[in-house]
Amino acid sequence: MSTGRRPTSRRAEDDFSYRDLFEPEAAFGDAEFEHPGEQQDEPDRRLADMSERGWDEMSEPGLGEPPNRFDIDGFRARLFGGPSATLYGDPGIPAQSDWDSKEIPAVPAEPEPELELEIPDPAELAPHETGSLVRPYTKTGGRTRSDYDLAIEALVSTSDRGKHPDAAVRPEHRSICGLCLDTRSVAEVAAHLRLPLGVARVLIGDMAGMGLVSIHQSGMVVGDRPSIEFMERVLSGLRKL
Amino acid sequence: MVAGGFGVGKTTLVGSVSEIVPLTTEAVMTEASVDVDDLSSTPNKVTTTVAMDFGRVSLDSDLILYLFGTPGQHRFWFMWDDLVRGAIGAIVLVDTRRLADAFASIDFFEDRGLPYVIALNCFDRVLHHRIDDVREALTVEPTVPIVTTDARDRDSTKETLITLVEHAMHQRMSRAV
Repeated sequence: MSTGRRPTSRRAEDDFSYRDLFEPEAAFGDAEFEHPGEQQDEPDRRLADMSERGWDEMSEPGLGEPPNRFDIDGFRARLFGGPSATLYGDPGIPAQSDWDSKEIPAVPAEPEPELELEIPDPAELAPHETGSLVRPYTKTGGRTRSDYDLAIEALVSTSDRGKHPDAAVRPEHRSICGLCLDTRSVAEVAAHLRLPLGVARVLIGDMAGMGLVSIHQSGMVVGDRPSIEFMERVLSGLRKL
Repeated sequence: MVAGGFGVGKTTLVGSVSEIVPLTTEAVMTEASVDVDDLSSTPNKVTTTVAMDFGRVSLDSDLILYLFGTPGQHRFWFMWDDLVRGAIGAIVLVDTRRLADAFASIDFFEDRGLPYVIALNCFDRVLHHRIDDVREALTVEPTVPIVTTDARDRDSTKETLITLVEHAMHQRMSRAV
């Protein structure tokens, strides 16, 4: 069973490798003669690394101590850790380990809910339109479902009413009206406006309700599947390409 | 829709026939789709976005075909159901060096009853296994077409799409009888 403490004789070797990996210039400059100031910094840096090491050792108690291993994993944890860790599909690094919340001051938790409670005034939304700080479904007032059952490939086009410059009040609605002057699918609207698909669906559903856009769902669907006639058209279309 | 393992060339295939540069859309995944109130009260909750590529092919003045590349990771299957709805069928793009990557996709389409074809993406025109061997390895029915394709080549992708639509029609008609 390994512990957080290592033999003193090993430290010099580990420290050298650490710099060798991540501070190449230091490896060459400092390896020959140690600066006195460098030595004083040591305890601080070691302290900072402690929490990472502690975690690493808990996860792999049986593996012993290969040289450099902890430093490399600490680096990995910093690279791949944090809120988006799951994106890398690496189960080895927990999304939020202890060191993360201690070392990096967490985003103040209180102001955010207040921000989102001010949803009702659409004008408030304008300055935040592109900011990722606003949670996506703020734009829909928190709704995740639309009155319309919109397929992602459903085509959307701006209606005559929507073409009127004053018809759309909310900025998102205005963007969609502008975008759908050419007929586009729900998925395209989402991609162009950099909105999550679900948000685009709700917004477009709202706009259809207000008569700003028309929706053309594929009418040739039987149940969940396209009809034979529809597939025939697709086939002949493909052959003509 | 186009499915297949990670890095097998789905986006390339979509891009080879699409008249637009493949677009990427995202869905925000939160645990069990909790609503905004729940999320805002737990600001540390991890929100993951899933990217999905898609392209467009106008077949006629009033007929537009959309090709959706599925999110590679299978844990994003909730998005696949969205795609299956209204889809003609699926192309399971396979790298013959990594056949196992295709199993999950095949199972999914079998389960949903969506017609699919297997397209072996020939990187550098090299087929690593005979088609019969692949069929046996993937244990797909003899009726499911297996074709070779070059995802980068427009005509090759077109042929694959035609095979898929023909297969979908054939399957529909044989079931209707």
